[in-house]
Amino acid sequence: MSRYIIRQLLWMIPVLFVISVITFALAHAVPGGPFDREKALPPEIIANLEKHYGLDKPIWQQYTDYIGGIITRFDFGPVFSSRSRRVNDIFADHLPVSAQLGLIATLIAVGIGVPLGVIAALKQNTVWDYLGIAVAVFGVSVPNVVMGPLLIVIFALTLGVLPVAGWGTPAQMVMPALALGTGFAARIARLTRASMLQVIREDYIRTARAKGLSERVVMVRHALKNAFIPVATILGPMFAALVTGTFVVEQIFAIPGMGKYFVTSVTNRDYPVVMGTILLYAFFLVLANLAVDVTYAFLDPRIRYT
Amino acid sequence: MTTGELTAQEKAAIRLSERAGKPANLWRDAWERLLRNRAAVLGGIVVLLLVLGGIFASQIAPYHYAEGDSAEAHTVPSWLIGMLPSYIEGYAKISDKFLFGSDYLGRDVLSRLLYGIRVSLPVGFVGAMTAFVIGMVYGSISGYYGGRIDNVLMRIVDIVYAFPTTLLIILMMAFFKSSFTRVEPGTLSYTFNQVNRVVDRMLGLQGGGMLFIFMGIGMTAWMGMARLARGQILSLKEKEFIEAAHMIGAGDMRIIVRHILPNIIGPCIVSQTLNIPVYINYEVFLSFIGLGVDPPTPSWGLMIADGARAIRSYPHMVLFPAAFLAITMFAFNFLGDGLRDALDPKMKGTS
Repeated sequence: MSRYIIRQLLWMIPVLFVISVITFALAHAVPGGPFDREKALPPEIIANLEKHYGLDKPIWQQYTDYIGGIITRFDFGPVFSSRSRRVNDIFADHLPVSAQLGLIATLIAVGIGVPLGVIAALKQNTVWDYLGIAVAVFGVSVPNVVMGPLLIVIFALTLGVLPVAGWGTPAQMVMPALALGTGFAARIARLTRASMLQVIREDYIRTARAKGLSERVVMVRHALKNAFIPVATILGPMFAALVTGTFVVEQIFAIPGMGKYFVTSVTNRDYPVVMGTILLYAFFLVLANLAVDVTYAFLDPRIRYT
Repeated sequence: MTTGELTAQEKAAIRLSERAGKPANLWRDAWERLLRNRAAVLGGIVVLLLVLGGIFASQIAPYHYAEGDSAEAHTVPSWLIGMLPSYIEGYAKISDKFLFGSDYLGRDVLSRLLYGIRVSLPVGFVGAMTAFVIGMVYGSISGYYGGRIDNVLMRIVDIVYAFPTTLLIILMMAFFKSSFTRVEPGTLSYTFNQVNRVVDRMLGLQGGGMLFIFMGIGMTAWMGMARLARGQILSLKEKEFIEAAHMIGAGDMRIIVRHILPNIIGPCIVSQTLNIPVYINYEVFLSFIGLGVDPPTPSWGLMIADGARAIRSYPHMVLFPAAFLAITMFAFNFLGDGLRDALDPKMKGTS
């Protein structure tokens, strides 16, 4: 197991290397430079700025300087659109907000999805089951671009119980987290229900009942643990999809997260911000998938990694 | 439990007797199962209506999608005003000229929604087709030849998989948009630009930039499909009938096309049908953040973004595109689920 983890961690190095090269190439292939303005700056000033930021060097050297900065000093470089702030400052200011939003949404997704799926499976073909399925279909079909405005119209404008936008107070967090989390909750509920239905028909569940275990122990220790394996599979991709979600939700609710910043940086050719964000998210993504792999082995002792 | 099984058996017996004499056929059986699924039929009807609405948008739509008078901006239809928060009545212009009201430039929301179908549905279908073709070819090669080829191909997929897809699409869209708009005859970008114009003209949306959205989604959508196709082939190629085909001297191409593909095509079609809403959602997302279709081309994502900006003062602006999008999603999800259950009853209720 530990050998597998070490190997996967080492595998991250070539992955991140390739990603950084592709991103660097794509970002620099976008025509125009970071100092293009509506009113063109004098060429001398642009030349000075480019010299200051090292943009006059050959492209490969810009790349090695950039990567070298990250590895040796953990420095993601300057921000072209601001003289005083560096990419690290941007991360420090905006990343925690996005992470907070993503974390609350994940908690909502798992906290609503798993119980809903389990109840629907245990009470199959009853009102509970149909309610669970209805909620799940609704959640899967209503994307967060729709969910966000819908929540605002209902809770902020009509009922007036929650603030329309902003970030910081718990009341401001409710709607964005719900808008982001319900879709995933629905997906998890569907999957949990399906795999739970399959598991409770297995022989070992019958055996567990036959040897006189209480229904609660059978369900929690034997059924739920096994039913959770397929659910764990989608947690990795879900993390990736959460990134998409935060971008949209942040815009709807005017939340100062990474999303808006990333999009403006792409259109402004703020290379270091673009590169840094993509590398950082790729890093988290690979880690998340590794965590899922490890969870598998924990849930199902038959799975062995060598 | 037992009674449920009995009735199911009875039902099966009845079905069997109805079918007596008719030969079994995978596609006809699937079709009959699909027709029995009410949600799937409803979804199919909605999809059909949307397709028709998109094709005949220029005939049905009362106004042109890009024309409006800003003097008529933000009108609310009288049937709707009662359902909105009461403070809006104080300042809103009430006009029955537009059934769903007008947007911030006085353009008819209904007409824009109808033309918007021409963005959303093609994106969904083309995304699914591209992913299907690239993924099938890639996955088949990887799974069938195995060994070193498989290793290399799958490592590539692993790397692309580690890319935060959303960020990659955003970056690619920015790249496409800025580099392919510079028109110098004879260059590659010029060719792309011409193809893009043809695509836009075919869809009846001049200057929409649809090709670039197709490309952005197509280039990121195929990995899942490739993995699925590879996995299916891996489990299939050890089977006896493949061995038998080898034995009588069938070539690789023949085995893949005649013996393997027919056996894996069902799950692959189902997976792509279920992915159509995902691709539609991607375009909505891109247009929402301003990197999708170019205005004034109507996209539901663009309309939702416009509406969300004015949500305090004119909440109805966001409701109609949101409702259209949600209904489309429902329809495709129902249809996809129904198709999956129909093609492979064993998979019923999973995923």
